[in-house]
Amino acid sequence: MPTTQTDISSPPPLSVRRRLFAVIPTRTAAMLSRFSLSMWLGAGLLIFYVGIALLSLFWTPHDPAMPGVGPSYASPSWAFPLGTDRLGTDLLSRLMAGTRYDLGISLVAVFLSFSIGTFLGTISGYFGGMIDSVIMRMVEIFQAFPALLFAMLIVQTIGAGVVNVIAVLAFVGMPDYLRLARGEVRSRRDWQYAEAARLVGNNSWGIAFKHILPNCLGPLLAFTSINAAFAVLVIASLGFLGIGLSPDTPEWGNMIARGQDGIMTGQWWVSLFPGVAILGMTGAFYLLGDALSDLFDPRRRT
Amino acid sequence: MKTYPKNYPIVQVRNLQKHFPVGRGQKLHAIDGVDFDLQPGRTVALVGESGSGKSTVARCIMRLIEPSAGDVILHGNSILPLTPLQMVEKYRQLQMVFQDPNASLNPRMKVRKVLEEPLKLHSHLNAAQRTTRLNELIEMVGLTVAHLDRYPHEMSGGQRQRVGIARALAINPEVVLLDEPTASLDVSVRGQILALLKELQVKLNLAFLFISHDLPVVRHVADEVAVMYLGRIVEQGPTEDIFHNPRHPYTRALISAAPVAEWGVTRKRVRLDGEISTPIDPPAACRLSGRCPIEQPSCSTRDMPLQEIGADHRVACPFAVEQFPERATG
Repeated sequence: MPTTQTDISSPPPLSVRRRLFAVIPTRTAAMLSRFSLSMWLGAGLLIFYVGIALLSLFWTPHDPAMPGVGPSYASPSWAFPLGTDRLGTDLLSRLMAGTRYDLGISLVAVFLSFSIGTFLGTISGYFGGMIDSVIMRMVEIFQAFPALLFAMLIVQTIGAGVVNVIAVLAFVGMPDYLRLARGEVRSRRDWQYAEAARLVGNNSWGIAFKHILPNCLGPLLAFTSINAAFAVLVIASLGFLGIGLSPDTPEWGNMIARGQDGIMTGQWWVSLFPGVAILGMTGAFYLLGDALSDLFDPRRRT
Repeated sequence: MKTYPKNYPIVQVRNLQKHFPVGRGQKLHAIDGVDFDLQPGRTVALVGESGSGKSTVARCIMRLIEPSAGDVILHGNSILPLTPLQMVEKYRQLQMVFQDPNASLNPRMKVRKVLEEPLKLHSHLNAAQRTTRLNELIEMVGLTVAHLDRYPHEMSGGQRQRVGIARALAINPEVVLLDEPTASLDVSVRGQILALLKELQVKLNLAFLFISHDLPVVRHVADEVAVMYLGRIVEQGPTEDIFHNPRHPYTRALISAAPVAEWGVTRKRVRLDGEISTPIDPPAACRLSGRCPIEQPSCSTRDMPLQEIGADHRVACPFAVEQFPERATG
């Protein structure tokens, strides 16, 4: 009976990933190798969006705001890769310019709600007592409204415009961070390293913000992704309803709204491409945030 | 290193009490009147089973929790009226090593940052001086400079506890409370940490409060032992007295329950019946009544204060001396 001999003496062939990393300095390679697939995908997509947004500042195929650069409802072609809308503006140009609005507004809003929410949540969670009660009751009042409805209400009240939309989004997103930070800080308030921090000379602020908060950032950072994705959706929804930014702003929600007349009559491209852009950006935020929450946990580092 | 007269008490704990409200007006008596002194170069051990209030004593002394009554006196002055800000000043003299180095080290801080923090907050050393001190400190606890750039999770339990000790000693305290410093460590590492603590105590003339439930370890390190049961000290005295000549029925049961590592030595087990009774609103009675092998009718009707029965040897049992006569030494 012939016996098959397994060759165990030669090492397995290097994977493509390994071979790629072989040309990069070791430390960088070690860092990069910790990145998961979702990190690469999410970061890649976001970088693509950022690139488009920057590019649109200097160059778009046509003027995104100019109606009549092409025929009304031209289907995708070489001259107009994504077609034109009813007014004959170039959809690709508008989509590129729209990236600025959707990405910029959501990033700034997320940053604001993250900072304010985390700050207040840390105070609420660490000090407890009256401060906690006051902060939490306020948050409960705001959260009693559905976020999107609340955002619409405020925008209607204070008026449209980029700054107002940012303010509204920051405000609507803030309570989630606040609750999350409060819970995380509270659960760690009585940990031994918090007590040890007091003994080495920290006051309560030092313990709360220097010792406890950094250990709570993982879930908070993971949430920024969900929040950013949500922000993009709210911006688009406000745009779609025509109450966020002025209707001729090349914002994706506005564009979908402008295209909805055409869907029934066969001009699918006008609404589809902004929708895909929103989907892609939301997905990118989800992927990135998921990967970041893994990466920021030092216990998973090797 | 300051020198003090012999038997100078740096810390005096007087009638310390801590009662936790547990609802419906009931109170859990975690500590119910504890007295002891800490002196430079000497170790007082606080022993007892879990729930006896040992760790609560340490946390009250550090004012991590506020005692309900009693006094903690540092260098002749009470520290209980101090504000948190003034208390921070006292942490230069009074430090603590925690039981579990996994929990007491911030997982996001490298050792360098952990040890630098007390220097930054408590001293006026500049960056270069701090680095010198860090290097000195890390070698003092038997680690190397390379360990400064590690995260806690990159080190073993023993190494982490060494970092915990270095953190406590960073600003040259005079008193260190050790809350079961070896309980979470492997037996093989335990000996090394104990040897390190002993060496540091001699070198720096430190006063130790050693909290433990590990009797062989206590016998090895302590000069004086206080046995706690349900928030009270039931017996207190020089280590050899306590181990060789235990008088209180609870001490006798505790010591007879510890294993003996000597060939051919058998020991009569002293057994206590029943379970430890509840610390919630205990009656004015001996805490051991109901479980005690030498119980008398009067035991359940009055408190049993500590009584002097020998040189520095106190027992909270008026019947102990006649029931358990002194054993011949040797």
